[in-house]
Amino acid sequence: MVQSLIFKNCPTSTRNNFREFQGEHVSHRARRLPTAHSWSLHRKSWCDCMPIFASTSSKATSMSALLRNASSRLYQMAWRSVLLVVIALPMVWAMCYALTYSLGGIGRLSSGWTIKHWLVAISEPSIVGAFLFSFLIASAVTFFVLTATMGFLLIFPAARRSRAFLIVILIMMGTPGIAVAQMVANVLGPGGWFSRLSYHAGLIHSANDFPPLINDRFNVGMTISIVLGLLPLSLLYFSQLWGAVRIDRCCHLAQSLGASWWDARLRVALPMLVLRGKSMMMLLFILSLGSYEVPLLLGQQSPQMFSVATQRLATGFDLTLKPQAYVLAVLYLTCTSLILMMYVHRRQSHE
Amino acid sequence: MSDTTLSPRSLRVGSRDWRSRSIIGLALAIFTIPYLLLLWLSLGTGWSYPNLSPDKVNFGPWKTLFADGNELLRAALTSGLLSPFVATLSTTIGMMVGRQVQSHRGIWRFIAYLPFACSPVIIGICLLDLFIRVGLDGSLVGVFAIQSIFASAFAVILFSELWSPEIRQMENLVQTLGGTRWDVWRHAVWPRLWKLSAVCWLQTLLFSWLDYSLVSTIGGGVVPALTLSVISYVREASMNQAAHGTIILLVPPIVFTILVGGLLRRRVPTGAVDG
Repeated sequence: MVQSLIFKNCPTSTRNNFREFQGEHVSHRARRLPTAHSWSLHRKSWCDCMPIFASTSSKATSMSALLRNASSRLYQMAWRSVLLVVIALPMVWAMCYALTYSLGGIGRLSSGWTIKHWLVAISEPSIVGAFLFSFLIASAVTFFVLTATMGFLLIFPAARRSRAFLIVILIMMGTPGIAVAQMVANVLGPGGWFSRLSYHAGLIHSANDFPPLINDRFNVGMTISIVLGLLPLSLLYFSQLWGAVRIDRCCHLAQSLGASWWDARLRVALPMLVLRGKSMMMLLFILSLGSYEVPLLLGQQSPQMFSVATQRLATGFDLTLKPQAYVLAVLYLTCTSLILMMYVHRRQSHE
Repeated sequence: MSDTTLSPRSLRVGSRDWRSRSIIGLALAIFTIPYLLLLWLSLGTGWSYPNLSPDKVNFGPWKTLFADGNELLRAALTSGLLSPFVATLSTTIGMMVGRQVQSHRGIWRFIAYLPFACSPVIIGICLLDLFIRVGLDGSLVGVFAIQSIFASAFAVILFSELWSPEIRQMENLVQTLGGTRWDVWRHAVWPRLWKLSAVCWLQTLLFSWLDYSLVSTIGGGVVPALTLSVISYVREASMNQAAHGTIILLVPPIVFTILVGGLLRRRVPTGAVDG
């Protein structure tokens, strides 16, 4: 507690130098400012207010500090290797394997390196279709999720504080894709509950009269399920954002300056949410691009989403199609990595 | 602000109250229908077309659950045994690595996010060959290994995003007051971290419990899992069995998510921030 008070009062450069002395790593962004001049300038006044620091700072080259430094280096090496071995290595292996397989480098039926599979894949309607279709569905899902979130938050900004809202969001969040897909099929399918209700209401005469919403041409059921799966995440994030950037106050201010209720929502709150939430939008897009269970259960046979198409080509009976599965995998991994890079870069430049 | 000035908005809120309440009530009703329908279906047998409820409500699927050699029970037990191990390993890795990723941005964060963003089934298909070579395909250990990769990445992200700078300041304080490394963990880090660790443990447990894509690719149908059974029931169109499996599948996530929500809510008092 004491230290946090002191830390607040001393300048950034002093704080970082102290942390480095303690054997900790200071990020490059935080290390931007310190100069020898500023360090010596602030050092005295700051160390004087805490006798312990004053005594330790004079023994900067002592044995214990050196040891601590060495052990923290060791710790740094350890976590980096854990991250590399556990997470990075399998990912890199997967990417390299997919690329090599698609270029004919490996594979039982392969006859040497070739770009034949890529040329076939580019002219194959099912693969190009899967590529375009996945992007279309992901964009549509992101759009619908954002529209629903923004619409809800702008109209009922107070709802985010209610217990019922939180419980509903948490239950939705805990419902996996498989369950959502099944519920949507139970309610909206040709033999589902709505179809039965319409039958009893006399609107239709058999299950076939009900408009197909599952495994259909326009992928209504699939899109609804993916949207329902991502909606709680987005609602939770944007409602936290609403509180964190104090949009309520801005709306109040706008209204007291003469804006109408709608103007305050549409011209003040909405741009603020959109500007701050861009990284979340990217994340929603990536997550919907990679969805698997829902398209597997509710999607149509052709075109299919990335994951389903790759799985079908890779584990199908026709082994000659296997390299094309890896072409699709390479395409997917490249796109996802690029969007992810944009996401990480955005996060980094906005923190 | 709203106390001193009676803005037009505050007047309108009063008149809106019953309307918003009724809308919320309607939304809640629509929201609960699918869940209730699923529960209702799991209690009966058959669901022929124009009927709104199952043909016979006889608790059929639930009665056979504890019979010998029940497939669903075996799958649930396997998933239930596997997931705590995955959760424990990945939470430990997340705790070790997460705070470092927070202070190192760029490439390290990109690496941590990669499994989280990529579709597990595509990565699973690309890694299947490696698992076959090592001899881990179609085994519980293989499924454990691949699930741990994804769960660890998730844990690293969770810890790196939610690690507060206060912990670091407390660590410094304990260290400067003469505490050993163990003291730092015991008195500075752990009291502020146990809730986050619990949240992470529960989330990774759920990831493993709900995973379908990794079990189906690496497990190769040999390793039973509840999700595999549910999807096979859905595909063979046995409505009641599928609903029954889904209800069993849904119980831990919903309980744990509400638990996690409670933990996080107490940690971060929202509402105090905005006026």
